[in-house]
Amino acid sequence: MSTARPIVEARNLKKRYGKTEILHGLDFTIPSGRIYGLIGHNGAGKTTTLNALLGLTNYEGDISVMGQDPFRNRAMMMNDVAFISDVASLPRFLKVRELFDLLVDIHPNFSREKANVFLQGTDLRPELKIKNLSKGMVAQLHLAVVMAIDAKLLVLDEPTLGLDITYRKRFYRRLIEDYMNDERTILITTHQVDEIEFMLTDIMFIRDGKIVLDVPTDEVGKIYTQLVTSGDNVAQADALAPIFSEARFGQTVMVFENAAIEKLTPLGEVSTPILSDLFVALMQRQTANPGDK
Amino acid sequence: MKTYQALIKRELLEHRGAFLYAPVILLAALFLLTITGLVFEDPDISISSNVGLAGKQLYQIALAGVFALWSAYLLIALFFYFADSFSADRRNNSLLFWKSMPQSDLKVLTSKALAGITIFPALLLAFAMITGLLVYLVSFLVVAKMPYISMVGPIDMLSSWIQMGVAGLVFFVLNILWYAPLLGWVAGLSTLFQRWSIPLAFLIPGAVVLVERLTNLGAVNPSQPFADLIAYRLDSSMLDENVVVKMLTSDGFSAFGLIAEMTGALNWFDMAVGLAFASVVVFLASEYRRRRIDA
Repeated sequence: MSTARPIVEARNLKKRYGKTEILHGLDFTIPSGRIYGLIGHNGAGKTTTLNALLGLTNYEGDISVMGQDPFRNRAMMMNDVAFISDVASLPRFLKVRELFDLLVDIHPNFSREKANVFLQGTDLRPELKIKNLSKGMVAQLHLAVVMAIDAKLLVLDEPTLGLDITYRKRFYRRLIEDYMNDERTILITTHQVDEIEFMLTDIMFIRDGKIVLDVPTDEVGKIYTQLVTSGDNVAQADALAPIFSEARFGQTVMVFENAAIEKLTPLGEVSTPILSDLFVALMQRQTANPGDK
Repeated sequence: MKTYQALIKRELLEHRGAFLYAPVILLAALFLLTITGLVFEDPDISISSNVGLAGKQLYQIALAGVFALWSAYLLIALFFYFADSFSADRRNNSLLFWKSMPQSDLKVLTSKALAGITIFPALLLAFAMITGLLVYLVSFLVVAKMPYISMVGPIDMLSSWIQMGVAGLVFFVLNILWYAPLLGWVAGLSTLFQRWSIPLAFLIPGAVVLVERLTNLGAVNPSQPFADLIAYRLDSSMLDENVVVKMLTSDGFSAFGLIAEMTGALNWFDMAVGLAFASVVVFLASEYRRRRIDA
């Protein structure tokens, strides 16, 4: 992990809408060169967190994005930050060529040449109007724009919402192949956790405005263990206090936190839980934070 | 400056329908109708041959009418532009895209306001000038049908066209600056209420005037400062119609005489107050936009 200054630091981040507190004092740090998945159910506070990081809304607490206060210096910060928050947010009245013409003068780090390269092999043409493009083509165009900006931090909030599986896979493949390198950071939220699991270096689970998990993905296996068991072993495994248990096709799937592997191995098949199972496990446990009692 | 140019160009691209396509269609339709009318119909106009007007004076009056009409179109189009543009990014779901650009909300809204007072008036001024040329072409047909009107010579035509163009430019600019607080008012409402800004722009002042009048019921000398202010602001009062006609029908018409008439009649202090109001609206709207991202 890089020892350079973190790309994002949030300390005691809170957000209220009226009297309702949405974010309850989040603390997290995102170093450069990582791909973070911010995962939570609807209404958990994912988008609010991203909006605060992007300076799109005011907040309480401290946030630093590449050394900048996002809300105070959003415009300056956006020289090095790009985001896609909704695939349909490109201005529909423009043609592809007109969009690039404008971006050349509006964004100092945008490269028309790079954008055109990213569009090669797609059905996108300069004279096409954005309002006539399919959802998948709009997503490709938006990704091309973002990748041509050469941003250090890319924030993606449900970027593939409404796209079919072909476009979703193509979107993430291009992201990894054409954008990501050691100096860049991606923060991504999505409901389709399984589809991005392969690319994530770190995961943050958010539940009811609190971070319930913030670990590198390669450490998930050190903390959480999944056991698939059946028959009499179920009762024995249950006695070891799983944080999640679910009957599946005649078997019982359990997830344990900081459990002794040697005690679980005799009871069934032991593995590292996939993110979607871990997510469900942590979202269903009674206390939001492992440390909370 | 490059960024402002691009942002203003964006406004042009977004609103080209109102400021480019619609005027082209309007102009083409009017020209064709006029030509058709003159070619296929006998003009039902009886002007005495000793009316005392030469073709040049008639051309100048026609040009003045052209500029007045395009000025009215400009003000109406700008009213609808400002009733839409400050909330257009929210309405068409592109707000987050523009916010992903390294440009402040103040700069974006200032560019929208600048587009309204630069490129759009310039376009309609160009249309007014083109209309002036078309009027000259039409005058050949008019003279053919009504031989008692003398034809304007090309030198005189060019002189009148340029003089009226200069005066028209100043007229457009002063009109927009005078009506800036009204445009700012509807832009501010648009920021808050989006398309409801159009009825609210009339309903809110109307309600205030109504309350003002109700409180004055039975008063011997009713005071209605708000109604007076609205009436004053809706009337630029730059030009006295009789003076303009007199100038246009004189032999020595010059743009500078008309400009002097306009600038002399304007209350510059009130204009500055109006501009300050419009500037404050733009700033407050940008602060609102900075905090609101939902549609």
